[in-house]
Amino acid sequence: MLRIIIYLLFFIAPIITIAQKDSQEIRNVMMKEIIIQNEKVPNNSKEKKQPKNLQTSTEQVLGGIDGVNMIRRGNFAQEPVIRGLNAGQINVTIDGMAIFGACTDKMDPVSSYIEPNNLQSIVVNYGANDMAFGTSIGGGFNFKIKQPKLAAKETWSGMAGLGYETNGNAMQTLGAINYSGERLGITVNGIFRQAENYRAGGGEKISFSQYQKWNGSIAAKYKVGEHRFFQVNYIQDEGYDIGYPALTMDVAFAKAKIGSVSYMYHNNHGAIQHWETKIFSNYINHAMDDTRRPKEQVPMHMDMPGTSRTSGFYSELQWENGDHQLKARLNGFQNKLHAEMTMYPDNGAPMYMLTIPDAQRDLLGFDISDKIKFGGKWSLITGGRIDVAHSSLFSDDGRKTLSGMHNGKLSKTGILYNLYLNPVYDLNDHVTLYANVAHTMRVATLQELYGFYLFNRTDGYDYLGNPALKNERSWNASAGIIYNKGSVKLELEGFGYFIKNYIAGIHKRGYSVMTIGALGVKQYGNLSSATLVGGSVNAQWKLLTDLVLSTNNTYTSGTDDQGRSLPVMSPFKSVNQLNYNFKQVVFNVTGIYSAAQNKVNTSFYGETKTPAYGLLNIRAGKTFHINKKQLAVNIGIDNLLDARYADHLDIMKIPRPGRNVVTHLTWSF
Amino acid sequence: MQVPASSTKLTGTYTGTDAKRYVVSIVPPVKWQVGLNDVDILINQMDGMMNFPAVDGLTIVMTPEMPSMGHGSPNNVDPVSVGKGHYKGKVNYTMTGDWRLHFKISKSESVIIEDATIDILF
Repeated sequence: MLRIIIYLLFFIAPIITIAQKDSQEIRNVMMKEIIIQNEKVPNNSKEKKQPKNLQTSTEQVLGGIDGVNMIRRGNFAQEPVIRGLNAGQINVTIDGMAIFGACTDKMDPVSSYIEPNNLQSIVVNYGANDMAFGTSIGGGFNFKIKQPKLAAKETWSGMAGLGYETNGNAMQTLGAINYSGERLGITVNGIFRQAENYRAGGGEKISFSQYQKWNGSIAAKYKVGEHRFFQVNYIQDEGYDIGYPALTMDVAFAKAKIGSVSYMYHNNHGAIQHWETKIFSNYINHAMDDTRRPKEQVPMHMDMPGTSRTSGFYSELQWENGDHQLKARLNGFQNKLHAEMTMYPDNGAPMYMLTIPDAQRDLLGFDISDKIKFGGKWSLITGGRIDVAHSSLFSDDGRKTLSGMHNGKLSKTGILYNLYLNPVYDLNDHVTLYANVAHTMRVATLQELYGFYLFNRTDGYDYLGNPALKNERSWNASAGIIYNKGSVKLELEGFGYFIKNYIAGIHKRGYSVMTIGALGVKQYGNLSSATLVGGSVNAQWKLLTDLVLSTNNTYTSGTDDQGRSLPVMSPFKSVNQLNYNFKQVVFNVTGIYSAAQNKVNTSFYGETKTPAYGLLNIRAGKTFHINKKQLAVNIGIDNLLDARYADHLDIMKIPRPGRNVVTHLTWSF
Repeated sequence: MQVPASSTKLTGTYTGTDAKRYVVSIVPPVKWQVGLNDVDILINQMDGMMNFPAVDGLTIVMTPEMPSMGHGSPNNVDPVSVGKGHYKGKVNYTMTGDWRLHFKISKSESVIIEDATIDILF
């Protein structure tokens, strides 16, 4: 089997001729790893160090990543978009585990069920590469859970933190305790967050923007024998009374239980370096709520609960064979979605319907990748992935619900394949060139296949699924140059996605709406194609040892086969930072500029134009060392000039928070 | 679920434009369900107090509606005459609750009953 796999790889990448022994530092240009809490920064990524500030929300960390923008429906659970692609077009996993939100209105992206406190790092994939845990068009995220340490210097260590933010009286309380023995390591952490309604720039109070949540996690690692480990992880995350000012409903609760058991073999010096097998299960329970809204906003009271259950496994093997660093992974999962709605009219009987009629996805995938360094100047990451995805309805009620909507089979099986080639060429000590060519595919989401009158707030239409949807496929290409000399670092990159069978909502004439006030009914369908192009320019300039200027600029633009501008495209955005380290006090000034977005198509996608905005944030931080313990104090002001603004991706353009004084204290021991 | 008795109306009498009296009834199935259901309509003429001859060959356009929401449903099949006064078609219920079936009934291309209704609750 191994021979066949290796043979196949040679087939994929026939240019492998000269090889070098030094295979350690192969740069992966298609991903970035954002370190949340870990001593060492991995040297194989376009690294980015995030300050160790665990009071920051996962969404804020994601929103700070180059090329990532957030869709806001409220002050909680923003949804990430990578270079204009989101939802089913990107793949989101927690430590390699498949997990899917339960809400039919996208109120609970997976990232809302995980806290920086749980994490070691966040890997963002800008396209197909060896770090991705699933098939997608637009890359995705993998949230790496913090691992307990064995045989650390201190047997016991821990952290406690307290944060307060003036805007919305937001508070965070968190803590962590780590035990590190010779054979057993345990880490336990928890956080509680609470916020009232925030104020937009200029002072307007945004009603229904409150939230509260807690998150707790435990991880234990046991050394079974030489190089062999057994690990258990469990995360529980529960949010309550969460307001969504951009939507017509709020959330009574959003709960997740995420667990896994894994067995690992790890040996840096062996031929097999890493072998990990994990089984996992997670359960999300979500309930929308309109009981707190004023009567005039609620034409009819409704209950809209939903659940998502996923179980699965993966087994991943990394080994060295001569000059190749190979990785193979087999993964599978089953996801079951159920969403229902009960409406209570003032006159008449309650009405009950399934909005996701018990939909199920079974997926089995295999991927293999190779990292090769050859000729001293060339390196290459290449690989492929094949998935078999089966979609169906698992209940009789579900099948009955759709019996009047679709002719033909409701269940379907599809085969998806991804292939990628990521070469990197070091022109000289200062200049590196890189490229990515990939063929990617994704299967339509269960909502896109089977959704039943799901209301989309952006265009105001009820959406019907379409079991006949074809897989979306894309040719992705990108190329970049990195210049690094002395105090200057410059990165330029251009990218393009050439998508076939692009999935979009198509107006269905003659269908009456279900949601009161909806403009019409749309059904998901395949447009023949869509094209997305963009680029980024990032530069860093070390003016003095302690004074660093940096700028990150991104632009994405997309059109469909009819020349209509695609939705959720962020306009040109520039993030400029000045970092200054003065007598161990770290200062940061960040200026953000977002250009106006006028490339919108209102009639087909429902988006409207968004004006430009500018923001200024300042931060200062100092770590005090007291008896070998540390107290980190961070103070900052976000939106210093109290600008009233909304980003293009914000649903209903509800203004984002105005000036906010942020104080975070973290005590480490 | 509390079922108000008034929400169900399985039959109705209408005077057609041809000055004849018609009884439009539904033959309910054992159990209605969400999704596509067979629908069986019976149309009789009221010929005196004791005589109700079945009427065949009429054309029916059926439109379901949820009165409390104001919406209908797609992909219904208009009932067609199958003899002995019966008309068979399909109705698509997208959810449970109160449904009203509207029937526009024509005889040789001219509308004789604009809106006969049947009320169903399940």
